[in-house]
Amino acid sequence: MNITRKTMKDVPSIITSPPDGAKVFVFGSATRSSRPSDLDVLVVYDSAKLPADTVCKHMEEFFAGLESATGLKVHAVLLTRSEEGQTQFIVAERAIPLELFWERTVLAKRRFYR
Amino acid sequence: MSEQPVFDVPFSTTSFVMGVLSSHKKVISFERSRDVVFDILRVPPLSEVRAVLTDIYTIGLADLLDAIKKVPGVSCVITGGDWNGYTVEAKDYALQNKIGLFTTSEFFGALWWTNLHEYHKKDDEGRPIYHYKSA
Repeated sequence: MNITRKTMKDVPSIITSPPDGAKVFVFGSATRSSRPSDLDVLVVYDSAKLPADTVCKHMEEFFAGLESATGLKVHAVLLTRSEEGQTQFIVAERAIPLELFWERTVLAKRRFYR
Repeated sequence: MSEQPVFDVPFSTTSFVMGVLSSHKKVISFERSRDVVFDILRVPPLSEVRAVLTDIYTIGLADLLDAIKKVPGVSCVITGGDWNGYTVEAKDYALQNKIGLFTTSEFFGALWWTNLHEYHKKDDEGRPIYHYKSA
């Protein structure tokens, strides 16, 4: 996902650096509400790089950083690529890449505080 | 055993499960620990059950394995609320390893079954219905 150079500096590094093999998306109320109560996150992972029996542990630090950066409690769904393909989760839940979510949030706040 | 909660589950969900267990005809008694782990004594000859309650929207293989790792001896992993579900891969793994993977309503039905992990609802033609998440 492309982030404009202007907003890139506002993106905490934790958001642009999930564990190798993981792609992070946001879905649920945080994508629609300006005052979400939590952050629903989808992680689609490559089980060759992040085995299913350790991916939860690998993601802990990332989720903690995400909670710190957003101030929101993270609720995560972790799916292998094949599980995502089977469930079509991204399409069904209208999930958007985390970087895009962050960019929209930053831009929205800028508009709000202008 | 640590008394730290295993999973973050709303009290309303935990309370609902406790309420149903308290009046379930196949449950003699149950003990709750670590907030969401239930050790359930069923009416003989039905076996005892160790169940862990989660509030994961879609339980995939990773979350199932995480629950199994966090709760030694677990025989049943539940995701609260019938809007939640699980993936085909997670259910297949659970069946192969004789672990129940259910939504709450499925779980209450499974408590009637001898081989709890095999419980499933059926459609009009007798085919299994599972709470798979799909578009």
